[in-house]
Amino acid sequence: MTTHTMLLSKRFLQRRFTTNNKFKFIPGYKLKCGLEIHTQLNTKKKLFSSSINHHPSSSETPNSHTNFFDLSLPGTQPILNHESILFALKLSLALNSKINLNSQFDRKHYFYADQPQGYQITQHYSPFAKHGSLTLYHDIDNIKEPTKKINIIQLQIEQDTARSIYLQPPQNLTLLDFNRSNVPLIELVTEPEFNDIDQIKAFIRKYQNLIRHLHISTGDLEDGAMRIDVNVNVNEHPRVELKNLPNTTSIIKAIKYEYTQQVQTLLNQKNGDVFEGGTKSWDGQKTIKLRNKETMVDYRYMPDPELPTITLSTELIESIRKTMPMLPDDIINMLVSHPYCLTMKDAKILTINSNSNSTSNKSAENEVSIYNHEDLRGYYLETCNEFLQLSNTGQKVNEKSPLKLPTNWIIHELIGNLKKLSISFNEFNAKCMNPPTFAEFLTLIKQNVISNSSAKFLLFEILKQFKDSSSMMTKMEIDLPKLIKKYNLETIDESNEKGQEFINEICNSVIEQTSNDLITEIKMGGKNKEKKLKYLIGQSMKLSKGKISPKEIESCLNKILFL
Amino acid sequence: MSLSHITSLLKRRCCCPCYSQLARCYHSSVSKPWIGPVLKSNHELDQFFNTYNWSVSKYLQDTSSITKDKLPSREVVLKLLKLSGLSSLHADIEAIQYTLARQLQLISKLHNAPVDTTELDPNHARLFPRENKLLTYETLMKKIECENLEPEEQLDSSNKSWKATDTATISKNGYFIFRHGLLKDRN
Repeated sequence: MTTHTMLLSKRFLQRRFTTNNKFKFIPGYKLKCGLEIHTQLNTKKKLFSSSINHHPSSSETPNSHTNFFDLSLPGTQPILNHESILFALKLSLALNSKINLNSQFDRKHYFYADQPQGYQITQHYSPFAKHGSLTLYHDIDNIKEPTKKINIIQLQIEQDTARSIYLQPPQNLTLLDFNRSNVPLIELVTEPEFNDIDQIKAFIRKYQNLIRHLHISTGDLEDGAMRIDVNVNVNEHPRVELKNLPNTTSIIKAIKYEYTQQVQTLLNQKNGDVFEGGTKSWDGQKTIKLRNKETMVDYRYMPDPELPTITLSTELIESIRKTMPMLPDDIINMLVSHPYCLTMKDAKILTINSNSNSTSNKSAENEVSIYNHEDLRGYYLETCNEFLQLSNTGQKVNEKSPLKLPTNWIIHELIGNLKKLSISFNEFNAKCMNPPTFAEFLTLIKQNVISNSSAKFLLFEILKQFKDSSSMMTKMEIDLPKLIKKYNLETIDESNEKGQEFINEICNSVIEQTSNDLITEIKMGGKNKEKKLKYLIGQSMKLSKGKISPKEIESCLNKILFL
Repeated sequence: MSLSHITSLLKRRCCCPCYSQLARCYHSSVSKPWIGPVLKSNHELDQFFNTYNWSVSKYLQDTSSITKDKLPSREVVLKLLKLSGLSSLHADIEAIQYTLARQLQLISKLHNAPVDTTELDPNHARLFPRENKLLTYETLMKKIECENLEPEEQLDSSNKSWKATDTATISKNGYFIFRHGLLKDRN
């Protein structure tokens, strides 16, 4: 490479990779990434002891869930927690992995304070499962390609280490909390098959959703329930392993930064220079070298003589397969098909999007705690089922989208109102309107007993009453016909004389209350006539409490105003 | 422990025929392991265990065959110290090289013992029966149910039956403490 070309390349890189610039790959420099994901399993007990496996949080008293084994006190021995086997089986099946019928635990030796045993119990020689995969799709996962299959090298069960809190000088101390020690982990290693940032984002999101869907982990990156290391290399040069990446944003920024660094290094490389791989950390701004890549032999792996091998029967695997829930991609495909006919966006709301907000114990005032996707999906499907039974008794479902009404009302109107009034979805389901009641409500709309706008008013009133009264504490009794009468919301029968009189009365009343100038402008036609007429229609709708259809009102106004 | 119990254990567990006496019990040089005759009395048992053909100390003490070129390198010693979390500062590296060489002599002797390892399974190097019972769906579910029903073990410090940090000389606000000074001179 000539000096001139190098200078040009440097300028090119500087322009492209300043913080505010949008990241782009450099032609001729191919990114290749692999992921190593550690997932904390939310089993009831720890992996090799009977200590309670509490979800780690900084507010918890340190070293309060530790027994002798967790502290590596001499003379203690590991006893396997079988719930971790069940969780590992579920994940392996969900990832189409080949499950090892005879896996084993091994000791990985290293010397550090977070593991006073001097070794971590992991699965090195014969891991739990191999050769799995997770496929990303353009429409579901927002990747550029139609599909991208990411192969998974292996899944292994291992124990977590203690949490270290590093105090800055002059204290020069590390505080150690063994509550995390011996918490079960699954380590997943992918093939280095990612060559685009979107694929990495999509994989993390999809895997996170999957482990939450299977109820085997909270999948939260922020509190370390899921930890991701990334291997990055450019043009097959030695890889760099990136560690200490606390969230997806950091992961993506670190990969972009490291790609740029490696490209720069390669551009500046002189003949005979060797590109050095190794392990780096991310400090929020840049990657920092931690150490050169350690060789495998340093860990001095050996089979753990204190633990039996895990010997599984094929019957066990088939039985677990039968108990597996429908997986997220299959659910999305079901929801976008007949009879649900959801848009991809709505299907994702019921399957993925609300996942990161699924923690039910957050403040009710916080929008994120209103619902989780799984409860909402269950409610939606049950309501749809009830609705179909009520509206199609004995008939075949032959409409193009027979469930458009439940979809719009549950995903948009109901959730919007719950958010507005800060009512938890689960409270609403349990104490206010369960699926049969909501299906009855929707049937009244479908049968035109109440208009769409009256129904909106009624639903909001019900929710408001639920929120304001003591009903949040007890189950609210809802008699829909009675409420419709109470609020005088019955639809006007526009085909009879009485109905027509009512419409005339409403329209005339609105015209009387409207300024003469506006009425004259409408009569004269001209600019914004349609808009002004719509204003009158809106006022009439409001006055009638939505009991008359906009079409009827427009027709009546046209007659009165000689339009 | 009865004699028959011991001999049955030997039949099941003995897998290290590097000691010539134990070779009586287990030969893997043919397709099917050959089990030696049953030991019939305490006297035979005593004789079996108490007759030494060679001594460990012999191979640890004999330094005559160790020449300087057979010593493990200084780099190997430093690496081992690092892996073991030991400081290399003030360490007598040469003395450690000789100690290691003596230990390696013993290991070499064990390695060079005439054993047919073709049919040995490393998975058998465990404190457990070699053949596990296959885990079925029913047994797995029962095990999980039992394990999760068990009350939090008394040793879990959450029930205040003990305080974890009481096992340490120093602690801070419920945390164990690791002093960074211990990391010095690890290279």
